[in-house]
Amino acid sequence: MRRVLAALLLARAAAAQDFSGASPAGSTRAPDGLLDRALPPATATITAAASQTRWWGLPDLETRSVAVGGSFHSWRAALGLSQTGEPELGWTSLGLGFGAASERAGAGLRACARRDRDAPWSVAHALTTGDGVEAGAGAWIMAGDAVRAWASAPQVWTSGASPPLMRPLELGIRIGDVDAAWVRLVAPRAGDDGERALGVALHVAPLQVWAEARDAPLRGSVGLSAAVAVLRVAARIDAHPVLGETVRLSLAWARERRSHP
Amino acid sequence: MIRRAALLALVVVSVARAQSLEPPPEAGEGDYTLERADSLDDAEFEVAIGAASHGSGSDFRGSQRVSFRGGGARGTLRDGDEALSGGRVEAPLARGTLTAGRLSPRWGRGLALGGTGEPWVFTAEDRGAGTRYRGRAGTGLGFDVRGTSLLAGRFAGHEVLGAHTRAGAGAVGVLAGGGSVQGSVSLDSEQRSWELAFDRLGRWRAEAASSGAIGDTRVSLRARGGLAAFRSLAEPARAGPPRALAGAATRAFALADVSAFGALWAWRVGESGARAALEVDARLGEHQSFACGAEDQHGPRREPSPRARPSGTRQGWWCEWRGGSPGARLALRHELWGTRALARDAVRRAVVARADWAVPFGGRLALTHAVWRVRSGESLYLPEAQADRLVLRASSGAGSRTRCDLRLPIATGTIRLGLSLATGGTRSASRRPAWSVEWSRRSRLATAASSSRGSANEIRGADGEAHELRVVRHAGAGEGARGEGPEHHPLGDR
Repeated sequence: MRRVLAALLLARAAAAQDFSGASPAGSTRAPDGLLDRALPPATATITAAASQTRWWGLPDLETRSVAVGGSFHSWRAALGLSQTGEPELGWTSLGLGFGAASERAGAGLRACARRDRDAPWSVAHALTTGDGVEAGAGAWIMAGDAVRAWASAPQVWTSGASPPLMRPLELGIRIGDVDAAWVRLVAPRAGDDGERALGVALHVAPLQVWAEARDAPLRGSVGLSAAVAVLRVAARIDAHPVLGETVRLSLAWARERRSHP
Repeated sequence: MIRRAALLALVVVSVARAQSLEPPPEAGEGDYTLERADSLDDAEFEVAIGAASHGSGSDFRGSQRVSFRGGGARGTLRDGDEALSGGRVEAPLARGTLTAGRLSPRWGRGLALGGTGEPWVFTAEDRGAGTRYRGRAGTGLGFDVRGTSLLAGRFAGHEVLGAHTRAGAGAVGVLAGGGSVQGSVSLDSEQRSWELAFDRLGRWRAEAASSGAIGDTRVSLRARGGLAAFRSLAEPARAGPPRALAGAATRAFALADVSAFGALWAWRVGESGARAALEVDARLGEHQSFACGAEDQHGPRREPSPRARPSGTRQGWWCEWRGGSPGARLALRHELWGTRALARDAVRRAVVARADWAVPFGGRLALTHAVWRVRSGESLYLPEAQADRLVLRASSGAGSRTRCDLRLPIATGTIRLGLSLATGGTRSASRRPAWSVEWSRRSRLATAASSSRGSANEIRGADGEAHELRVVRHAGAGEGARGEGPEHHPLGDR
């Protein structure tokens, strides 16, 4: 029990995105972009995805999520459900994303409600003060033929129980589509000085490999994904000098209605 | 002649844009509101009614505004506006112009009337005619006829009378009030200007400024000297340093405009300051731009009190990108200030994103989100551009601010809806969502009058100017101007 408690505290203090998948930052194809960062996909896509994250190598601290997304003309929507940790100390999250996008620009809204797993649940008490609710917005734009800039503020508004992680504004610019390089800037929070990240991705069909370095403290992530027909499998490892490794795996089914330029 | 005038204007504009917009020295703690100069054409008037949340409860406050221009008269009257109350009316009278209400004149270089207060700013942006913002130095009456100006009003808590006359490029003025008399002698030519201001006790200040070009580089210089004891009786808080030297140079290269700025100043013996800055502004196609800059500051920026702690070094850098199309635009900015070289040991950091989109029915939706972290003892101002004003939001600690604006043409006018949400440390008392709604209509006074500036109901002047989205402005805390008493806080300033 103590181990679980410590793990949960670490997760709450360090990182705990409920719907974050294994895709690199700024990808226009990330199925979790709308739910996690309010960034709708550029293409009209129908997706179903499942992911699992093991935080800091602790088997008792895992996040499991499923998400579905759809499109209607330029409108995008996504719905997701995730569960983190053991029943005694974990929480369940329900996420909803809505937005609009073209091939040149997109904007979205996201909302997420969390509830402790051991809290009694009923429809009548579905959104009581014991729940944590957050809402945010994001936008991206193609600044050139293959230059994408984005801004994501996942927690513009919060209410109720505090979220596991305060997620401030993130700015990013990505150059390239599948062979890409990007830079990210995360705004400071109370108690830290923000975060800066630099990443690259290389594509050798059907694989894509990517790596990202971040500061404060210096750490990195590597990822690998493969796409076969409508299936995508991705893995991501985040290394932290103190907390250890976080491993994410995701499996997605995605059917695009038209190809990305 | 025209080329010289254009050159001078370019230099002045480039210098002005490089300077940070900050609350003036007479402003106290908290948010500060700058009133934008109106954009009315001749023979136009605009009416606006609105309401905004007030305080921390569910109260709200209504407001009305009327602006007009035609037949040589112009003015703006406001009622119920918490930040910008009162108004100003100009009307032709006896071959001259009579002005009543808020006054913000400038004589010469501003030593006697209409100064800047900032050591490195060449010209105040809210003093004198033709400026970007309407200042509120005082209230009263003014009369201008044939190069002669008379004014009578209440400035800085006491009654002031003034007379100023121009003959060619030269001008002479006298101010009296509060038991004192001050004189001003100035010369304003196309590229050079100077002013000598003095009082009957022999205290004086002098300032000269020159603008020109060296090859393809536009250059301007300003030098000031005099006694620390001299300060304008109308605007003592804007006296600025008695000794200052400032310069600016801008050159357009193929890829970008590069500007350099430098300033040295001294408040008193042993209390001096310096500033150097470099800016690069590049246009990346029709709708995109990238700008970045670095700045180094030493010493107090505002007149320090005798008991103030010595101000240390501040080094900062910023970068800003804007892109998109007219239908969807995105602007991103980051600014960092530190006490050590290369902005290490950060004391202020801010990240801002602004996105705006065209929406159906000719409307526009804008969302601005800013996140900041400011060390204790430092302060930060985040500009918030609104239809008729620029609000400098005082921010401290760590926090975020989100503002959503929606403009829609409706009922032969334009309705503007605004919602602000602050989730962290601000100096504003309330953290509840703040809302505002305003409906305005712009119409022509006479159908015979013609204009090339679009239809009467066209939405204009609501986006804010580009420099107002250079989003982070700052001023060191604890550097208040001498005499920051209530008498220096016009009611409408906050």
